[in-house]
Amino acid sequence: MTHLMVEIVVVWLVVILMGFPLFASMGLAAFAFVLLSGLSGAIVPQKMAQAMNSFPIVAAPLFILMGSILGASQLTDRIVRFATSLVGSLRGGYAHASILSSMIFAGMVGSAVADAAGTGAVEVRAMKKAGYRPETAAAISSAAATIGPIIPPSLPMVIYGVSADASIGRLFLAGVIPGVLMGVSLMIMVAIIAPRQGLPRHAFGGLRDVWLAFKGAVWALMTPVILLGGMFSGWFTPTEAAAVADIYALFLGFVVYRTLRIKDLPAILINTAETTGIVMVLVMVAGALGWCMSISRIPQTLAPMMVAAIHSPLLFLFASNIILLVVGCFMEALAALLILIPILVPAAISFGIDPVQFGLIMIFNLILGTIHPPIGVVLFVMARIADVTFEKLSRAILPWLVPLLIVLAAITIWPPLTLWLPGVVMGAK
Amino acid sequence: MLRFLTGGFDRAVAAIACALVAALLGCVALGVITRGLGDPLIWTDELSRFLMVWLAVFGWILASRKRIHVRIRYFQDLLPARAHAAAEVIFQLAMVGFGALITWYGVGLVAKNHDLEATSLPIVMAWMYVPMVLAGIVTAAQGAREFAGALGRLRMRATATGSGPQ
Repeated sequence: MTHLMVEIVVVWLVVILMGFPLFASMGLAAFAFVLLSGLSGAIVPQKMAQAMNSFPIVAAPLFILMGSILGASQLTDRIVRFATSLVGSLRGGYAHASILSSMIFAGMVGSAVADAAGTGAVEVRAMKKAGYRPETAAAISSAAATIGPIIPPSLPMVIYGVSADASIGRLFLAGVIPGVLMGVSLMIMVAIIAPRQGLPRHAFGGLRDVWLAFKGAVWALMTPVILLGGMFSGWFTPTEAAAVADIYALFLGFVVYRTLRIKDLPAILINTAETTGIVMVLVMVAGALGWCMSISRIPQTLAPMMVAAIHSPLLFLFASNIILLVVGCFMEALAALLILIPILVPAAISFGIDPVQFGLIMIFNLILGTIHPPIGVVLFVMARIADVTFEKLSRAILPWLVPLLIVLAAITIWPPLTLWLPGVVMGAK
Repeated sequence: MLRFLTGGFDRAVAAIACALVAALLGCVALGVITRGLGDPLIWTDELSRFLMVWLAVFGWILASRKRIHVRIRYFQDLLPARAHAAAEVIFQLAMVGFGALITWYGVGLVAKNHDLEATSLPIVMAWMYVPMVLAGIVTAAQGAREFAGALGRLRMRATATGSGPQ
């Protein structure tokens, strides 16, 4: 069975590279395995449905809905305006503001695509108006969007927590420092390139301007406080937090800011359902393919091989980073998580690596794939927003990967960056 | 006529998908509120999971109809026009096969689970698998339609270059 699965995976990789829709190629690979192994084909649709029959996964459409509501109710504009009032007067001010906005937005939604679609349009528009090249503006916003699933709440962390049996609360806390480091490293990068590219600065409007922008955004800025406060005080679970966030955002849009109208709702709901469909069908087929891999003993074969071949935990982490970065380039992050968790997490644990730290490393790597060609879903979204070609944006994004890779190296080498905060807040395990 | 039917179908799917998103949000919120009031409802988690399966499948159908599923087109776009069209014909045929397999085995799953009760809801587990059948049918039908289109394009290319499809 192991050999059969390996052969199927090789064919599957060739087929997806040739342009066959990803979900159908994964589904057909699962069917090929069960039928050639003499198992019932009913296993495939059953495992696909079962992949959705999980309460934590409910957070996915609810986070996507949150991104749609924030965009439609123009709450993102208020956040970007506040960030611009704070850091806009630095050289490359709009780029700094874009990164700061994404950090704030990351505390409200748990996905890079939602972050890109939510703040991206406002940020790119502002940067283009200030004279930034469209591809530079889109590259900065794309890189900043990767902070979305690292700073809590985070959809990939919910999925990882459930699949790897790790504490979602600890994972959320573990993402705070790396998320802030990502923001800081991107801002350092802006500070380096801004004088060279002659990126403009925004005139400082004074403290009164900052205060007015803060007042305009204060209710939106309360969202992360309500979410994290509610979760860590035990009022609601991370999944339920997504629903609470949606209701709060609807309340802000309809009642507080009055920027939402009833007639906006169908577009918000359809947008949510479509994005859910694109992402969740991949998670469904990954559930079936992941089951096929387990049955074919791929994890049981690969994990001991890795442990035998690699003697140091650091080397294992280095190898995992390479594997995950490559996989992240070709597969949707959630689907890749579901397939790779049973293979890599047991090996990581046998090396004595904390599953929370390893979870952060897995998610970080796979999220980098969203801003990297050829799949790069964030790049697809941002190229459309900025009206640049995917190829042009793929080249423009390359320098912005450097600071993010440095943060990845830091969290790989130094576990306290991910494990210190969960230990302080939730105590030792 | 076909356009009228597909338009009606698309509108119905979109309306159901909207209702599912709203119902899912309402159901999860109801669970939080009733627990906060000290009188939790036991069925909200299970209903949320049923709604999640239905929403994911209706989202899949919406994305299929709009042809917005994730594909890596980079290498296919490098192919010469005729090879590109031929690859598309094969892919769409494979989509028909995938949809047919999902439909066939999905019907079997519904039949097997028609008498298995859900834990807290007064419905049978077959409802979990019903949307899979619908998604299978739509995937196969969409694949067949695009197969016909791709085959037409392949024939046109073949005519333009003076030879039949291989």
